[in-house]
Amino acid sequence: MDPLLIEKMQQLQIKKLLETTYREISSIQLIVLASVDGFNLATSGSKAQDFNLPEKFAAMASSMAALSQAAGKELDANHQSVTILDFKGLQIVLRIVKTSTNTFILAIAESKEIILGNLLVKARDCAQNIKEALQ
Amino acid sequence: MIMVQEYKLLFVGGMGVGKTTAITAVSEIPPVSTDVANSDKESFDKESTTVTLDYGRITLPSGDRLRLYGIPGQKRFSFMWPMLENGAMGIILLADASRPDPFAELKIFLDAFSSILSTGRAVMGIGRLSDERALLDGYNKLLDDYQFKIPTFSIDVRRKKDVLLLLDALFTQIEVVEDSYRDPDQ
Repeated sequence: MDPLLIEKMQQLQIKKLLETTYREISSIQLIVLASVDGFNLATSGSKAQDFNLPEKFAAMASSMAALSQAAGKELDANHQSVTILDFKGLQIVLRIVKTSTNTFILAIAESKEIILGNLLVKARDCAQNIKEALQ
Repeated sequence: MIMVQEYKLLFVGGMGVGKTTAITAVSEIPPVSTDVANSDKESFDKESTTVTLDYGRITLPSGDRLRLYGIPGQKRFSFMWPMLENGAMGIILLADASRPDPFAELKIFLDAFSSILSTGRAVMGIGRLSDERALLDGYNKLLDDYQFKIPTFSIDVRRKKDVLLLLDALFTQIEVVEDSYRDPDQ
């Protein structure tokens, strides 16, 4: 992939930010920063070491975010910021992270041990910190 | 009462073969696109790439509708392929002859979509053929190796008439397959 999308130092910095969010919410299964075209750029969470899972989750996050964007566009809604998926025992939040040069997706899968509102606040804060790190 | 039929057709092929372009060329509605910025320009020098699906539609003179779906061509999105294949009546397989190893890329899709391709409900359009005869023979040999009875055409997906040719050929294929089910001796 394009090595200029994220520099190595920034990648380490972002991984630390994801780990901080994971420390704050231990029920996070996966927290991934993905490129809009589905590459896994940094990962943390209890399933971060599962074979191939972070890569698959990054690609799926990209697909789901793009489909949400397409649905919004059909209904004349633009500037997608958050997509929420709700399952029994799992909630997934996808948050768009826009910098001056690139767009990324912050994807968090959490075991529903915290309420959705808290997860959304943590996702927003994490996205803001990532944005500042990438500026 | 006349029942309007809906047919789901699937455009299949690797990144950059022209699936989005082909659907855009023939769709009567502005296509639903999930193209995003491509960050992997080392693999393929292209500004955007499809990450979920393309969707377009054609209404036939009979009132029947063709729903045209395009797959995301990159392997990391292969989780989308069975979802999109489900319920498809036929496949338009697209290939780009100018790739460094066009047959290797094509094999990924011959394997992944073998359940429909093996029935013969498919056509193949090959773009950017320079040495037409030699390469067409190569593609036909590859399809023979897989025992897929699929017609191949040299096409330019930017041209509406070329894409319509593929759709015409696909419906002829589907009729031939259905006739052979009705009359197994054919």
